[in-house]
Amino acid sequence: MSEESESPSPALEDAKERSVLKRYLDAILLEGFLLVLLAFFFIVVFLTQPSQVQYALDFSAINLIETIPIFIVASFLAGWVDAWVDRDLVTRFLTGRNLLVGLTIVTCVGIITPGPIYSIFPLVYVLKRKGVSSHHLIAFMTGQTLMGPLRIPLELYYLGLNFFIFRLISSVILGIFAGLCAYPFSARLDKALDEVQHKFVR
Amino acid sequence: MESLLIVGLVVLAFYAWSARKDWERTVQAFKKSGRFIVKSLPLFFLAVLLIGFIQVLLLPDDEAVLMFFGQAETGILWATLFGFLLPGPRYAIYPLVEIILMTEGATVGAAMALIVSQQLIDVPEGCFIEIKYLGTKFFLARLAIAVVTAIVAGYMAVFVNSFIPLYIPDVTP
Repeated sequence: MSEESESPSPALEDAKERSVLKRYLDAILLEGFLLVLLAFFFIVVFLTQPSQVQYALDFSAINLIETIPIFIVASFLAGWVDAWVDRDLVTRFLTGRNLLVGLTIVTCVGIITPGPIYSIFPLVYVLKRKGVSSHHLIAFMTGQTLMGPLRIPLELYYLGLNFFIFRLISSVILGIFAGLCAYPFSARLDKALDEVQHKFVR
Repeated sequence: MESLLIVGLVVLAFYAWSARKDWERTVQAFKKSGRFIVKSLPLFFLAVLLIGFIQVLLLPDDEAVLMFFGQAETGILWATLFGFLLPGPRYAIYPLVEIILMTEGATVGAAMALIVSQQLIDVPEGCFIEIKYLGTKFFLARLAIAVVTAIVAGYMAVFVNSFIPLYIPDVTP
């Protein structure tokens, strides 16, 4: 084997370096942006309503204490699903069906999935990896966000039985509607999701 | 809290079953979960901290909110827009919606659109994590669909309300 073939060319090394740099930049870009936004809002609140800074911190702390356990449990569920659920099985379960039936099933699965929306992103990410299409994911997320087991008692208390029943039925209809809205763009969204997942795995 | 306990027990049962069935795959599941947590927790922490400060700045007083939602024609559109910007957990919307429903002149469509838009997209805290996991294109597509869905939900409520009253105020002292 020649010397040249063993050592990579300078252009290749340069490209590799750039790729590593880009990977780190991608990783910190979102967090960095959020940090800047946080600093901005902190300064605005501090200058306009200094007495509310403590309230904001308390609100965030309570929110954090309430949601971190949910987020961790959801991440463990996502890890389990990723390790055990067979991609072909999921794809067969949804793609082998009529579009409306598939959307109804995923919307109902979404409705019975508890937790705030940001706790289900790991699960949605895994479902995508298992081959679930974008329109199904959007229907799932719509169902999950519009109705949840935890909120039923609160909804009944504040809004009454009639409103609750309407909300329950409309959540299924709206989940299907959202899925149908996404259906024409599903292939394009799938491609965009694949690109993001490729970055995330790196 | 109860639902978290139930889901926690279900997940625990999944892992117990997994450990008995295939130890290698269980370790793999743990590693994947750990990766999810490590990659997202800093962002999650920052996002939740941010929402506390946005909450202070964004929430106007009830009268101002009702002024928008009381207009029959534009109520649904304002409610959709306001719902996206309204921070806080999803259940925090119900007391505000109750006030709107109890106010004479406010439309049930605006109340419904407000619930749907507030719950569909968590603009301050959820959108950053959504972009991290699913990308900007997917988030924007979902946002556009959410706007349409919230407006449709508002008109659905108006339509159904013309046959069956959706909100019956509790008048008992």
